[in-house]
Amino acid sequence: MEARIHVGKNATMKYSETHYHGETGGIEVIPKAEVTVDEGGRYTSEFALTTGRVGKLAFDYVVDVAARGTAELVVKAYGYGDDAITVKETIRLNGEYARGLAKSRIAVCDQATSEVIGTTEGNAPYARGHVDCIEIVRDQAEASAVPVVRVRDDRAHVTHEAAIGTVNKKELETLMARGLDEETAVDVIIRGMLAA
Amino acid sequence: MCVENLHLRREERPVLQGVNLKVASGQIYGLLGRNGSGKSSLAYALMGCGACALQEGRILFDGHDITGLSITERGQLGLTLAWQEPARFEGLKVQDYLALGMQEPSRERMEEALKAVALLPSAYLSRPVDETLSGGERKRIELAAVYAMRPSSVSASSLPRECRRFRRSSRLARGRGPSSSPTALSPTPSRSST
Repeated sequence: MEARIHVGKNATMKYSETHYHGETGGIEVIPKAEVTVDEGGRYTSEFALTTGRVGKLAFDYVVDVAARGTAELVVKAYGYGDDAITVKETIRLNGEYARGLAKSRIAVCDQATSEVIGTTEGNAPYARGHVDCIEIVRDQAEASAVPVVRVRDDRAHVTHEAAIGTVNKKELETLMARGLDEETAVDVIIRGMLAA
Repeated sequence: MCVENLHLRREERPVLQGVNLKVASGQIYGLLGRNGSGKSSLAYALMGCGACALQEGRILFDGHDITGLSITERGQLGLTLAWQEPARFEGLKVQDYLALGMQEPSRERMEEALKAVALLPSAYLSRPVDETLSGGERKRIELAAVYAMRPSSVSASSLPRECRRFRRSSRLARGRGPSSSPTALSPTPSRSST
């Protein structure tokens, strides 16, 4: 998909894209979009590829947000085998009081790879942005996160948080103390994270 | 449950040295001690988890040596643990969390479990077990999950207020057959350390 989206003044648009793949892999998914949100507009995008093999995913969205506008990008993916996941989320908060959230939830196992580059720019007074990335890594998989926070007005405020690693030990032990085996407990935790 | 000569270490530091304990069936025990004296570490060791390494000793449950068993195997035998600061689970609803430990999940039992810890089922069953819950709500849900599981033995770490309700819940659970007469061990900091 290659899209150009314009959300007009005070308009709202919500876009959901959910993929269901088989187990053989080899599919390429390349969602690309340039989005402009006018004053007071609201744009929400949720992309999910959590059933079946990802294959190759190259997600690349750029959103420009005007005054009092809001943009929220959410990407969820579960890669295994030799799946390759790349997520680029860019939100430029160009107007006063613009709001932006770039959120990603990725799980990779086997030899799958994932790279998340979340960029949020606070370019105007009172703009508020946040980058929120969690990646769970299992087996020989590899994950990286590059949160980029750029502020060009001292009244803007942009934050980021990224957590990459294996499944949280305390969460795992809690579920195992209910009698779940480790594999099932990991699956419950990953499925929960991707469902949130 | 019987603990014999238990020695635990964390890195190079001894945490427990030669603990012996017998916990009778159907009884509730409170374990008092100063902060850092190893109460919670003992609870974790009974469940087979935590950061401490077992150096010596053994744990018997129902006459069987469970020292070498995994957390899962202990859980399947009917032991469980309510954490001092229970974990949060993004995307997992309370009803799904309660169902995980139940052999035959039923909405009726889930509602009963939430009522036992004074939470309104209609307000909580669909809520996620994540950061949106307050600390007190999360602890109550942890106890509700234990209640729903109907374990044979529970270790509940530092749950002062909720424990009182848990005691009542345990009493409620009694009289419903041997499988629902839990033994509870509750390590709680002594007054001098709080």
